[in-house]
Order: sequence, then C-alpha cells, then structure tokens
Amino acid sequence: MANLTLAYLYPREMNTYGDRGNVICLQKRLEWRGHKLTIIEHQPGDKLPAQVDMVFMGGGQDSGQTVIDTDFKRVAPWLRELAEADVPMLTICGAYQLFGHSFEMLDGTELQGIGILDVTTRAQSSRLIGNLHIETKDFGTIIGFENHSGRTYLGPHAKPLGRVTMGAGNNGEDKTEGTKYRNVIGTYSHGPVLPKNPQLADWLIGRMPGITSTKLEPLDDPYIDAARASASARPR
Amino acid sequence: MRLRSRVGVIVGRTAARGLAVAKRPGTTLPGYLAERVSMTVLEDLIQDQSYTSRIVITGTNGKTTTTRLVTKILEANGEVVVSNLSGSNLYRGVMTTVLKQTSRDQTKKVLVLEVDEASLPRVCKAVRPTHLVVLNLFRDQLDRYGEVSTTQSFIQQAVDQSPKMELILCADDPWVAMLGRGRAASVEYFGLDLDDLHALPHDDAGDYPLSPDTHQPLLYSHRYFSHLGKYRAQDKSWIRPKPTCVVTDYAVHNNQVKIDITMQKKQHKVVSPLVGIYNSYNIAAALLLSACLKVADDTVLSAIEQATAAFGRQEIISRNGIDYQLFLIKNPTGFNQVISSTFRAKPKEQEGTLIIINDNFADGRDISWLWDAAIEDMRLGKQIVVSGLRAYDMGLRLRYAGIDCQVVTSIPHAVHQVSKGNKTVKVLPTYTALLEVRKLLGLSLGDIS
Repeated sequence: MANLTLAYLYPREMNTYGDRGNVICLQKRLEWRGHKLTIIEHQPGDKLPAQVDMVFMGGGQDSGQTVIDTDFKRVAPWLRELAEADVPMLTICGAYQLFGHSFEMLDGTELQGIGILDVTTRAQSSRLIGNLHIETKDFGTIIGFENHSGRTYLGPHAKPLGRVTMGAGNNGEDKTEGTKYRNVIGTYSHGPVLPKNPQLADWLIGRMPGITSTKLEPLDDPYIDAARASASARPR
Repeated sequence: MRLRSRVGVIVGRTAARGLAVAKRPGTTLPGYLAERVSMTVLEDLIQDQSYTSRIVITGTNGKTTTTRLVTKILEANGEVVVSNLSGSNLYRGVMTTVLKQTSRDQTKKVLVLEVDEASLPRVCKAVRPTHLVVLNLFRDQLDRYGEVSTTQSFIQQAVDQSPKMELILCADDPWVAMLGRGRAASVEYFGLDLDDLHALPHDDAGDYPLSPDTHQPLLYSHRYFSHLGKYRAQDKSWIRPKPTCVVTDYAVHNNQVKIDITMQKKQHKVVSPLVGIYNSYNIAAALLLSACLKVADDTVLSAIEQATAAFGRQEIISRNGIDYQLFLIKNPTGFNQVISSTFRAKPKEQEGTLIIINDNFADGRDISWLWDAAIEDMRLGKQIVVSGLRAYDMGLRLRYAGIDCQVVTSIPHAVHQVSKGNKTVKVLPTYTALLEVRKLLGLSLGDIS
C-alpha cells in the first residue's frame, strides 16, 4: 500500500464547474486499489508541503484569480522544480492559462503566468461554451465540457494534448486542445475531465513518484462506457 | 400610448386570445409578436396602466416561491395582483403577462414579477420597479452566462439605472449585499442569525467575491451554506450589513416549519409548509417587502401560513398509495439545500429515491455541477434509481460517493422501478425531467408500465 499526497491548489478560489470532481476521482481510484491519497488544500499564505506526488489546480472566476495572484507567484519556483522532477500535474481552464507564459486581458494589460507550459492566452469577450471531444494519441478520446473566454496559443516548444473533434479547444482556430509538458497537463476540459476519462486519471496516478514502481490493477468501471457513449451522443 | 405600441398591443392580445381559444399555453408568443411591431410596447403599457407598486424579484434560487408568497400576501390585503406565476421570467414572458392584463380601472393594482437575472436590465428599464428584491446569487447555468460575477453585473446595471428604486436584499450573500452600497434610496436587508446552523461537510459550492473597495478576500465567522453567512473583508473595509429582518429560530415539525423572525423590534412567529432554510430566506424577503408596502402583520402571517410550494418545489403528488415528493434540482446549491432539508435524517422504511438528470437546453448542457453537490452527505434508503439523458453520469457520481444505484435511462420505466414496494418516493429531477415526471404522474402507474 502506498501513502500518497496531492496538493490541491486554491480549492476555494479555483473551483468552478465541478473541477473538485477530479480530486474525488483520483482519491477513489487509489482507494479502490488499496492505496491512500491525502489531499493538502493549499490556501494563499500556507506553508508548502514537504513532499507531494501530484498537483491539481482547477478553473476559477476572474475574482478568484486576482486573490491568488501573489501567492501563486510565491509558489511558482516550487512548482517549476516539481514539474522538472516529473511530478504529474493537472491544470484546468484558468489554471492552464496561469501555468502558461502570459494572459493578455481585454484592455491590453498583460498578466504574467509561471511559464511551465509553453502557451500564451488572450482574452476575448465572447465565450467558447459547449461539449468538447478531443482525439489524443496517449489517452484516446477525451470527453468533456468547455467554458472559457481566453484563447490559448501553443508556443514553438508546445505539443497539443490532442485535436478537437467537437468544440473549440485552445482557441477555436487551429483545432488543437490543451498541452502536455513532461507530466504536466493543461486542458480546457471540465466535465469534470477525470471521472469520464479514467484512462487519463490512471495515467496521472501511474506517474505519482510514490507509486511508479507499483503495477496498477485495472479497475472494474461500471457505467463508464455507457456514460461516455451517452455524453458523446449529445449536441454541442 | 405611441401608435406603434397600440398596434403592438392589439396584435399581442389577439394572439393571446387565439392561443386561449386553441387551449395553448402562450406565455411568451404574444409578447414576442407585440415586440415585433413596437420595441417600446412594455414601457408604454406600464405607463398606461397605473400600478400602485411595481415589484421585481430576482436571484438564482427561490424566485418562483417568493413571487407566490408576495402575490398571496398582497391578494390577502385586497389588492389586484398582476404576476407571471407561470414562471415565464424572460423579457417576452414579462411582456406577455402585462399584455394580458387588460382592465384599466382597478384602483389598487400591483405588479409582481419574477425576472431572470440576465433579463433584468432590460425589464427594469421598461417596468421601472418601485421595489427590487434580490434573493441570492449562485453558480447556475454557467454555460449560458459564464461566471457568477457576470450575473451580478447584470443586476448591478439594473440597480444603477434606477436610483429611486427601493432595494430588499439578502445581507448574508455578499454578491447581493454589495448592491446596496452607497445607495441614496432606501435599502433594507434580510438575513439569518442561527448559531446552530452549519454548512454541510461537503458543501463546496460557494463562490466568494472580493470586498468591493479594497479587493480583499472575505472572512467568514459563520457559514450557513454555499457562500451565505456572516462575513467581513479581511481589512474590515466592508462588513455584512446588519439586517432589519432576521430569522432567529428555525424548527421543522410534521412537514411544517416554525420560524421566529425579528423585525423592527417585533417578534413574529411564522408557520409554513415551506420547509428548508432556503425557504426561510424567501419568507423573510416576503415579510420585509410586505413591511415596506405597509401591509398589516396579521394579513402577512396568515397568508404565509397558507402559501404552498411552487410547482416541483417540494410538491407532493399521491398516486396508487405512493407519495411522490418532487424536488427540482438545477444547481449545486439548490441540490445541497434539498440534501440538508430532506436527506440528512435516517430514511424511512419503504422509501425510494429517483434522481433524473437531463441536459436539454432548458436544463443547461453542462452537468459538471453534479460534482459540486454534496452527494457524499446524502443519507439514502435501499432503493436508488437514476434516470434521464445523463443517467450514467449520475450513476458515476454516486459510485464515486460510495452509493450503489440502478440506472434506468427511460424515465417512465425508472418511475415504475422506484415505485416497487415503496410508500414514499423522493424524486429529484432537472427542469425538463420535472415536466416529464409530472406528466407521467398524471397517469396511473399501471398506464406507465
């Protein structure tokens, strides 16, 4: 049995559209295999945990992003170190944008990101909202829901997480969705993304430093095929 | 009235009569047609018909219930109330309501409207409300509006464009309370003072604004549910306004709620079939508004006592010896309130639960919110059935909360299944599922199978 730790960054400010469901999913999938996942909810000003096996951060509203700004800059070097050490991270929507280089607001002012992901984002007034299907090489079809006003563009070193088959994805122009650097994933997919895409959840689990040597037992996943099928059949 | 508007009114009313003859509902079409003729039909009609008060009620949850309460109170006070009780609360629905009201000679005619948050600026511009009641703001239909702060900005806009309008606001919801800052016209607040009431352990559905001036995070000394509670800005630049109408005690007994409300140094004992803390807010809002309108206390209290729940809100339908209790769910906070009020006690024998999740346009396409609801805190009986277009998503959500269920995608079959051997069935449908279930329960269950 492995004892693992997940840092959940800013659960109060950066949790909208059910992103908390990703944390529930990771914890249960580990529990069902006899492991334990302790969740450290990191709030602005908190001491950094000594040891983590994964980092999660969700999407937030604009007001939430302002509150965390100072603290996020403070923890950035730590996050960069973890990313280079191949610690898996999942960043959704607003978090995905903040993990990039910069975010240009509607009035032209530029917010600095922490630059772990080679992407830049520009705000637009219209939102991209609806069901989202992504074809990926590593995780098959990812099924989710997007709701964002930022348009994200991949930098020269960035590879997309996948290609959009329904929905807008990164920017609604180039058919790319999300990005992946080492074990850090950025995506616009809510849904929440992990419960309906267990292949992605298990990939992240398999990369947690405290468990990489253990073989992951396959899980009996009732409902999953039917849930994916019924979600896929719905209009945009 | 402008000529174009006169023609518009004639067109709209003719359509309304036609629909009535054809026995069609027509809660928006007459308004739509009238608007095609003249863009100013609504404001011209409002000017033409002399309402003594024009009351608008908005907020994420509780609009329909509060509108019903206020309507009952004012009717008990002998006034003629024009109201969109059908729940058609967008611009055209409002216009249709006003359009259908044809008599001009009522001396005490009052307009009471529930209005969707996004339609508020446009409706308020035309209706020029004397009173605006704002109940709460929660994440809801984010796939339509984006963020809670966006919804708040719609209401702020309506408030700013009507400097004389009196505001009746929820003090415990910071998104709502901030609307009252710096107003010259009257602002009254309602709220709770219940030390024993705490949020569910898994209530994570709150959306916390920053303090309006210094953009500091808010600190809570007490949280009732979601982001409602007693709060202040970290730097004390802003604190929760002190409410004039306060719920000081809450108890449920035999499906009835008994609440104590203190207002202007008077204590009121209120009895109502509207259980749930969220309904206590609705009752407090109605009571405070009635005080602003100078309705006598006795009239208000007896009208509240008799007001039953709106359609699909704790509605009980008895069929074939089974009580079906319907609880509309449409957002995590609403779901959590249903959990707090009806799924925290030990379930009865022979009690089933049916959760129906549709994702049609009227429900909202995004069902992510199911993961924001405190499903882990539900105490459920043996039989749990899930249904609807996204039944398997709900099955998945329950599985991750450690709850076993049966998935029956067809709603008629699910109703049949959950009825087997049960005397009580709690039904939690999304909006379009609610319509389907009510229709089904109009039939005998024999017909369904």
